[in-house]
Amino acid sequence: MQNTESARQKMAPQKSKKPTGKQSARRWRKRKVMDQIAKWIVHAGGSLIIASVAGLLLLFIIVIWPLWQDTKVGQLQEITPENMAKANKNIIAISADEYEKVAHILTSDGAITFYNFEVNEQLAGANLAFDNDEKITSSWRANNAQSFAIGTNQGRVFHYSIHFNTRYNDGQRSYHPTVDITDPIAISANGEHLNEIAVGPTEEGGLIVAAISEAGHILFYGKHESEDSFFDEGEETESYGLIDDLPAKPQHIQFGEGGLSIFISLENGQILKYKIDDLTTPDLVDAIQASERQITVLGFLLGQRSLVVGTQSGDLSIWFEAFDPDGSGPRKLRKAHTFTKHASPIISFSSSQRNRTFLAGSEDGVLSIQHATNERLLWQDKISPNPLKLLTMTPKNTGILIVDSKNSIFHLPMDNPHPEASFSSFFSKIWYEGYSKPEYIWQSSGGSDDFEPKLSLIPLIFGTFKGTFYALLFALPIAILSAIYVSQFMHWSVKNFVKPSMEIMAALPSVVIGFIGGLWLAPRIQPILPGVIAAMILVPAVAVFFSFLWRKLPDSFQRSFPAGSETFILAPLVLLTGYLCITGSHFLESSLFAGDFQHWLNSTAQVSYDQRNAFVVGLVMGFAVIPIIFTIAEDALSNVPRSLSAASLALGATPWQTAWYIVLPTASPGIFSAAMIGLGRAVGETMIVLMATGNTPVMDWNIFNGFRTLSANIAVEIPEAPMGGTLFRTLFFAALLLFGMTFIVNTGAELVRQRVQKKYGKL
Amino acid sequence: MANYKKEFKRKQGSGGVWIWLTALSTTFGLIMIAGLLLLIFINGFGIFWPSNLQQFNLKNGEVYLGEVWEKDAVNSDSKTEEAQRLRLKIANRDIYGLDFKWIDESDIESTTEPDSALFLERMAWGQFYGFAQKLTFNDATVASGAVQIKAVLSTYLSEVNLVLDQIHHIEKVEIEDISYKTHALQLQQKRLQIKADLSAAEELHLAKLSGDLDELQTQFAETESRLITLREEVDQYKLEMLAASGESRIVRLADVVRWFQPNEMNVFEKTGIYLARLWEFLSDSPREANMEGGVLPAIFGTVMMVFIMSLAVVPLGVLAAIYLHEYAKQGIFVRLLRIAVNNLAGVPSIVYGIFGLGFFVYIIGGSIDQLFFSESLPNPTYGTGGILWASLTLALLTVPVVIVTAEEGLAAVPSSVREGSLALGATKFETLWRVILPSASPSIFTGLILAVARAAGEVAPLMVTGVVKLAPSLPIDGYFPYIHLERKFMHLGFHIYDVGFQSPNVEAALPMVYATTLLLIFIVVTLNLSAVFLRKRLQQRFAVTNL
Repeated sequence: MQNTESARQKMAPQKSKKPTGKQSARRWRKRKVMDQIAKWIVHAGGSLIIASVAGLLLLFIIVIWPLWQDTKVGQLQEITPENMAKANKNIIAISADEYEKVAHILTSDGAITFYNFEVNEQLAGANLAFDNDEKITSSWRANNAQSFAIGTNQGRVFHYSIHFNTRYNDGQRSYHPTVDITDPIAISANGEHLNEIAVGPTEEGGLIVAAISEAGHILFYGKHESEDSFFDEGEETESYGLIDDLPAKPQHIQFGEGGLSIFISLENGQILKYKIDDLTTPDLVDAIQASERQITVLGFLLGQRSLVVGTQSGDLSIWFEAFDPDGSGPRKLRKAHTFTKHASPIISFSSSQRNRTFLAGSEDGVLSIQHATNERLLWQDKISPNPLKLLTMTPKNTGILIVDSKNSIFHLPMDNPHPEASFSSFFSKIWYEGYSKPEYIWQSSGGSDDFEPKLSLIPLIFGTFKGTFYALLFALPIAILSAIYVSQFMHWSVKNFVKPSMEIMAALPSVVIGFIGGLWLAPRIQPILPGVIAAMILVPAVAVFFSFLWRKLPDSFQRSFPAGSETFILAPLVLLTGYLCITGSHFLESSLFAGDFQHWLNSTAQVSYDQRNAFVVGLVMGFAVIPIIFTIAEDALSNVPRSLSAASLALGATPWQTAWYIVLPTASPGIFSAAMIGLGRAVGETMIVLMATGNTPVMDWNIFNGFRTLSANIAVEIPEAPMGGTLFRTLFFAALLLFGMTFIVNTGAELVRQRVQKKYGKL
Repeated sequence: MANYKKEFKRKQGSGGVWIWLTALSTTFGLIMIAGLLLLIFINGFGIFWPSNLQQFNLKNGEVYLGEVWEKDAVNSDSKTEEAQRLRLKIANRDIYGLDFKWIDESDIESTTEPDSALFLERMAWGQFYGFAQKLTFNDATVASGAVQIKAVLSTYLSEVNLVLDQIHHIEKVEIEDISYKTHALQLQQKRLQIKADLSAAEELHLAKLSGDLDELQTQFAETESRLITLREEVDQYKLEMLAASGESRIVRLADVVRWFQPNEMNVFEKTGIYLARLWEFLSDSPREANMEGGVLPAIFGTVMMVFIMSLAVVPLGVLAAIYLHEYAKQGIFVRLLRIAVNNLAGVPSIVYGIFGLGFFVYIIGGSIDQLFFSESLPNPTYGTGGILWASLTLALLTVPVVIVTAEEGLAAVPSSVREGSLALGATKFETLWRVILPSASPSIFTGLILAVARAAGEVAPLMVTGVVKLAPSLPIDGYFPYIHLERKFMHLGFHIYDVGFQSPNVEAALPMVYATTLLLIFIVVTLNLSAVFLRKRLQQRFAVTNL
């Protein structure tokens, strides 16, 4: 112990000083204090480890918690402007700005009012220029609540859009709302009463309007502005259309995506779809019986693809166009979701401008907030004793404006940041918009704002298990068999070289292994696949054959090789067989698989081939976990007391019998533990799967397809996930799942290890 | 007796097959390891060697000059004859678009190795393989023809490099200095502007600040004009190059990194070039979207990250180990602690990464920004990924390694030593500090090395907590406070992933990836070997002590 000696030497000069009693007492006190401080620090250090594990879990829970929070709704507040309440004006349309301070209100006299209900102040507005006796008979509101239209009893349509124009001065918000009113459109040549109107989404400058006339016909008006050319300003062309052969009285109309089609609900509960590429000749393409009862509400969710249907009986359902469940047939309207029904007829509806949430209001004054994708009822309550006439969700989904039949306006604050997250969206099959049947799909983001996020974790969990399965399929036999060999049959001098080199392999960065797998192995294995598969069968076969040959050789020759040289005798054989298989791959391909293995896979075996696939991952990830399993298994096997194997050998068992029947069963818990730790590593491995698979979240066991694991998914998507958003929290949830999996596996392995320790302690 | 012997032999033999099979697995494992290392060694070391440039005249009249990278049997339908094809690196990305070309051997008319073939390494667009035609200065021809140019090119290049050094100095020192000062003044200005009521002195200071800023602005304009003059001067040197296929390109001498004519060089000259390119790889910054140049910033980032991590992981790990082994009473808490340590060791690295993002970056970093850097908000300072957060995340990831190894070391100190010290009147802390820790220090060091080796190779958690493909500045520079822990950094492991999988031209980038891989493996394996070596020394030492 040189160190203690040197320490003593350092203390030596102090000793020679001969301290007085007082000094010595002081020094002793000081030493005591030091000792105490050190004790605290060490305890703190120990606790810090527990704290970090607890903190890890706590952070995940804090981040994930909001995903499961129920929709919170604030205090309902009546905000009807006084003068409006006095005049008892009939409210036709309503919307609010994104900060929920200003409401836009359209009343039946054609007055467009902006009203700041926070400070009770009326802002500048505008008026629609009605003729004498002209009255509003129908209204329409765009999904983004920025453009509105009304139809009158004289067959005219007024269309206008609003802008709140928020400005900031010295940190104060001020509003300068403006209204753009287009010239009235005389959609009905003979001035018919318009029962219902709709305005379609069109490209810049164009306009498309449909109306239901008193006579039960559908009238169309379209305006198209040709591109500006150098010489003239661009020409406006107007067109008109008509549907007058409906089987029953039409009640509601809605334009489909891009204004290329129109959906009409009839009195008898039918919904018809017409193609209107050319307004002058509408073309019936689809007709379904959506309900036995009268349809009272027909509206689109964000994206204009999902049709919400509310009925007289209070039923709510969503329909969209999809193929048959087997993926065939023309796309037809199909009922995809049904929702918690209301007790009385649904009379109002509003969809969110940000996600798939929508509101439904009924005649008994009940409001429900629902989420379309996972069919979840987020909130439901009675708002007013009167029927709820109008509903609107504010642009940021933070509040709702409600108008009842007595023209009272209510404001309801709402906190609902993650409606799309739920156990069912993470773990059940969900019928997503446009799909032919409910499916597990992970697709967190899309090209457009109206994208429906698909957050099923099942494909990712599946991918994790698929990768782990193929990796262990390859790694377990090799690692455990070679652990047996190295611990039982190999000469110690060779073992001293083999074991550390395996251990160093365990330290190889996974990014290196992933790179080799993805960029070197994957493209090289593709053309010689038959040869590789052949080698996997032939190499062991050749080794077995060789072992029989070896037995035939004279004993003296065998003995000239020390124990454990089998490995090196086999090396050239393995290399030669492998080489022959790979060069013979061509021959195999042409003789067995008609010249092209991949073509054969595709056509005959009906299996697709990705270049970066589970086979490659199995090889390289297996390569990464082999050293880990090997090291622990080898330790377990070496730790089996010598006395056991010696006794077995002494009783006449062969070395193999001893290894197989005595050593292996004794060490089996340790080997199990090794396998579990290898499994844990494979489950959480990120870089290898990221680099050596295509990262497509598909679900099938095909070994020649790619997959996406939980870990790779986190690595790929977290940089693009805005903090605090649903995707961000969902990825934390995925990480927690991963943590949970490895926690179970590792704790299991640890418990087994402790048991083994006890057992060997006894032996 | 004979029967028995026969029986014995049969039994031996039947087990023999199994033994051979287990041996086969070992063989397989060893071959894979050796193969992988060999693959990386050959590819990693080979890329700097200047191979000869061969000119291929094809039967259809096309001519290509390039290096032969590999030969391959064609997957042709004609099963009768094994046709060979060559993979040729033809470089000249700006002419051909691709760096590589496959040529069927049957299409080749003739092959030559022209002596005058020039290998030109450029700042942009990669290499140019071709022939020097004309060297011009101020649009006047100075030299023409390969021989003449070769004679004078070095002199002109050194002239150009003198000017380039000046440009570099202006760019990297003067302008950076001005922009740093400007930024600092702007922040001061903003801080004062945010403040509600200013004192008279502060008003004055604010006025002075804007004056200073104006002055810096003029200084900047002046420096920039000097820079432009120098650039114009350097742009006058031009080299006209002719590709084998007939196109010509004008290369500014300022863009020339290196030139040589491999076909007329002997082995020693080539070795010189080899070493120069190897040195460039180790000591230079990357170019061309990280596909060329060096990896110095990545080496620097890796080393610095590992260093900061060590500062965090050693105290934490050693304290925990001391607690476990010296202080704690065996009980439920210790069992919990051991399970915690074991689980920390098994948690996937990406989970640590996302924890680092949520905890260090957003919670801690966000709070630091609110408290100390409010003037630069909404631009985050610490509230975004950076080298400090990445290091701390990795410290958490590697702490179990240190705990386990340090505890082994503590356990190896014989209890007689411990008891002796206590019996002589030392307190527990003194025993620990002067007796136990010195004896256990080699194993603590071993633990640190293993932790460093693990951290150097981890990539996934870094991708989340602050590694970038190209960091604009190193985390250490000459400006206060000199060490910038909030900065993003480059890392060798991420470099491999990024260049290999995210670069626009993966094929041309592969050599770079191999070289980086080799470097990373070299670092990791060296660290691990030294840990193994240290541990062995340790075992021997204690074996002696115990006697």
